[in-house]
Amino acid sequence: VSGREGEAIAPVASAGNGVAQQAATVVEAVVERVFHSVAAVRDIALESHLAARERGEPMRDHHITAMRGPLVDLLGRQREIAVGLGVIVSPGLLADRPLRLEWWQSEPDRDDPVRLEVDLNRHSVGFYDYAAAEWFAVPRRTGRRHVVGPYVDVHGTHRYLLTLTVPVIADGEFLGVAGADVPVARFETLVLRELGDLAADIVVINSEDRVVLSTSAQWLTGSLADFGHEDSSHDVRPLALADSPWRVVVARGRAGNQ
Amino acid sequence: VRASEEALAELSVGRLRQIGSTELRDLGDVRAAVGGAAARLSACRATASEIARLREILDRLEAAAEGTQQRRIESRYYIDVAAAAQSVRLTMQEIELQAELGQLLWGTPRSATELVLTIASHRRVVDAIEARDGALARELTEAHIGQITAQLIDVHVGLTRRASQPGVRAAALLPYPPAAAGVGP
Repeated sequence: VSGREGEAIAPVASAGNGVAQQAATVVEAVVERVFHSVAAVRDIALESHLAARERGEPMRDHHITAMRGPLVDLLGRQREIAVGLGVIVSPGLLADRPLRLEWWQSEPDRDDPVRLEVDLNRHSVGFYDYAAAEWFAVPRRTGRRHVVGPYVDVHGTHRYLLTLTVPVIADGEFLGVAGADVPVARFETLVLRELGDLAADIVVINSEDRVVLSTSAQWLTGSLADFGHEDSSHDVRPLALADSPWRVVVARGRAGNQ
Repeated sequence: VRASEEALAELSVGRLRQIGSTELRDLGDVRAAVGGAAARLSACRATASEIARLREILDRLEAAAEGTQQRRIESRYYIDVAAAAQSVRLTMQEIELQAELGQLLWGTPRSATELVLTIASHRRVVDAIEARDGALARELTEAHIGQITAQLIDVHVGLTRRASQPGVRAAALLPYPPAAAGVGP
């Protein structure tokens, strides 16, 4: 039987729904933990913006630099989850610099966090065009938080990452985005620990049908899994996660089973 | 910019003369292994937006005027195919290989025809990735890298055989002057 949402629910699928709900709750909780850190990053940016405004100053480069201490402290407290976090400034916001980001990451072989250095010269071949990056462009357009990944971070850390971002908005003005990087492996560990031994294969897929994590090597993280079509060999149940285009799929019974 | 391009070209010509043809072959073998595997896995794993990004890079390669700029953008193509394969290790390998290759290639200009053929070859790989034909994506990548490796070996042998002639600048031994990289005959 097919168990797509909105269709008649067979007894087996109904059991699947409970599992899907449980899995979704776990995944959501882990995602919320990361967004909690991102909200702390956003608050640092908002405080700085408010302080500048109270002094009657426009936002300048040094206001962003002043966030360094709080960002590094926050990263130190988030070691269990985030490997990088920071603020990416809306192009044209600063009075004295067109583009600016303040992003810190922890390196596996170093105690001190390292600042991400990228080429922000528009005319250079290696120009880091952050305004075009999904993690910046989507929150800017929608005004809502966003998750990108899994993807190989070629520019920064060379890690396999999820990047979570929220827009930084003050009085309706978009100031930029605040974000955090979470290694996919770490995210997987956090979820798998909480999942325990549910009696089904759980696959979490993003909006592009990429597997974010799964409990079975049949669906490898990073691969594409198309659960959109009717497939009688699986009992599949997509489920929307709040604020995230991901779906939790309970894949019950492999081909030939049941 | 022109002066530093020439300096870079001189350096890489020197490097291309020093290196042995067996090392060039070996580098080509590893490039084919890494690039081929990356292309195959990309065909299974690349999302529509990653495929669009690969096409965008090839458009930029086509539009780039300078030889060294073309080489940089082409490096980016190989690295992004590996990233689209969702493999950190293949990506790291490709970054290292491209750095090594850059030292050899930046002084080896190619004609406009060669560039056109190279871009067409990369486009066929991206087509195969989009068609989810991993075997073809791999085969095309391996074949292209094999050809480039053979050309490099030819240039190397030519440089070494003629280097004994006194008073000849290394760059003058190349089929096209470095300054005209990519816009030759």
